Amino acid sequence: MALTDTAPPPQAQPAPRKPLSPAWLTLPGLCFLVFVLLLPVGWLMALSLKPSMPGAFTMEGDWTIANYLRFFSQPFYYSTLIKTLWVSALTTGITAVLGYALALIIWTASPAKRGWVVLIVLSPLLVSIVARTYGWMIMLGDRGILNQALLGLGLIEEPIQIMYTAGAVIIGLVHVFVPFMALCVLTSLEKIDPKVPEAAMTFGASRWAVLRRILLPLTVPGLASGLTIVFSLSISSYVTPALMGGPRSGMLTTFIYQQFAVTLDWRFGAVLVTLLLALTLLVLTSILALAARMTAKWSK
Amino acid sequence: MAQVTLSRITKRYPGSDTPAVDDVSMTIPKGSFTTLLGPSGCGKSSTLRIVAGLSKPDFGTLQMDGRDITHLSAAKRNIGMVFQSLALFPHMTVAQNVAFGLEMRGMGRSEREAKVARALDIVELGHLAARHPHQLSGGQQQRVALARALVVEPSILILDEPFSALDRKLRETMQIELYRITRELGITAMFVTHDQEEALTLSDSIVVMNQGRIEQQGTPREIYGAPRTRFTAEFMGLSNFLPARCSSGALSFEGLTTARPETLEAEGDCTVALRPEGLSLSSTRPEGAALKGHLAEAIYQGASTAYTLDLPSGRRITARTPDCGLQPGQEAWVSWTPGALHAFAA
Repeated sequence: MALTDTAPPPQAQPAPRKPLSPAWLTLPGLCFLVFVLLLPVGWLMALSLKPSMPGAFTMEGDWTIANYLRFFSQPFYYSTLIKTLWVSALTTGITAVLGYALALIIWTASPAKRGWVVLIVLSPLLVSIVARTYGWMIMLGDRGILNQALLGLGLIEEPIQIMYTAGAVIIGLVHVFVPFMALCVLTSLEKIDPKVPEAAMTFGASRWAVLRRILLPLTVPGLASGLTIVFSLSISSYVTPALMGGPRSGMLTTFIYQQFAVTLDWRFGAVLVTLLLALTLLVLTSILALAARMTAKWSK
Repeated sequence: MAQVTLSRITKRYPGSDTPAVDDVSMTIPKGSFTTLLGPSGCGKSSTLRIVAGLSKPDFGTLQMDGRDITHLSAAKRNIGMVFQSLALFPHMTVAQNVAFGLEMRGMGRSEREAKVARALDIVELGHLAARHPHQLSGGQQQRVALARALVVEPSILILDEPFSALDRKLRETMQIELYRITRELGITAMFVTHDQEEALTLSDSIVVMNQGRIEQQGTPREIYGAPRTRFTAEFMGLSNFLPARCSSGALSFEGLTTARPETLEAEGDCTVALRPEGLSLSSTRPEGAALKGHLAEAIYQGASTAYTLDLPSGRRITARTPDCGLQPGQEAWVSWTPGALHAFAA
């Protein structure tokens, strides 16, 4: 009571200033995004609508969709899009399975072991991408460790060609993306009350039923962010496809590099950039929309 | 329903010097409601997890209706469990939560739906079957957890401090409801709590645990009315512990000699405890056994007043009685009803 008696009467206080919306805090980041991302990308997209002309970097010329017609009329061009799509999808799928398994191992590890497991999972990220890729080349080359071992064991008679195939690209990408997936799934697993899977077991659920009926549905948010991150990293990766897929890897990113750096046909290159961006956005929004629909009823 | 027997169950967690469960043996008779009671860390939850199959004992055996289930997985024990955190499946509706156990047992859809509807009726939640857990109040979530455990017709219902997160009023309502449901269905239940009132309200049998061992086992009346150790006495709300000596037929403490209580098994040094609620104060010497002291404090608490009395020996006792008008500084006599005095080996 004593406290309220000594409080000043309400009218003595100055009128409170209306506080600024916290949305203003995004302003610096927003400016940065506009200048380094939206403007250049928008400029490139506009450039893709100008007639193809090697060596031309500016906006002169009439508006046209000829570049797009050229891309979709030639199998050599549009097959890169299809290959990029399936290599990225397969990479994402394999990464999801391995990353999920790793996340489960981390989640169920005792606190003492946990730090070590996380360190092992993160280890691919500790090595420079070039060193890591050359490491894989030593492993997978025609005279690499893997082929030597298989030959030595008499399991094969000739070296298997692994390097400079889509398989090599997928192996190289999965290796480095698994930590991203594992950490995303782990974030979702951490939010699950550990008693929930235990409860399922007391009601007669096998380990497989616990995974399928309890853990998988509850980790949809983490799985969705993992899938979007890994898919966008896969589809836009350059170094691994260039080094492990060889000069003719047939991936969109290496093709883009050729257009911009070798043939200097920026306007056709801009078509490839626009298509890559559109495809990525389409896949990401589909994944996120699907995940949102699956969790809409129960996520708070 | 089944009878569950624990024989010499021992469990030691890695990195711990003392066992969490130390040579525990007990029988939970068919249809009985048995409560493990004790402070946190006394081993009651570890014992319960071993019965549920969520943790394996290092030593000892567990039997259900005479069958050894020590190494049977939790999924195959036919138990119904209510967790302290409830552990409802957040992505499933109330009906799906309740149906889960039946589904795992391979029951057909129509039979399942009928059973789920009946279980939800028992806990009066039929109208909320399509909701998700986060849309329910704490008490409603509690009922879902109970329905989910009951619907599988478990051999034993296991409850791990299920009401600890509820406020006092809701907790009392849920206790009465649990009492009614378990008695109506004749369920064998194992309940864990640290709340002595809850244990007394619900149980047919109480097992008091301390430091991994069984301290005392008996009906609520036996545990409350005749605690055999100081630990049980303290846990059952007794205080005013006074050193005493007992010989054949007599008990003496604080210069007073009275008849020896029947329940006392010890000889020689022992301890007397006086239940604060069973004491009364007067300014003149009452008939029968009484102690004289100096009134140090009187704290008004509404229904009763807590009086602190300094005895000539320098020890203090507290009496909780309706206000009797005595003031601090006065001399007073304290006397007790027969049930308020307990004695046990020191």
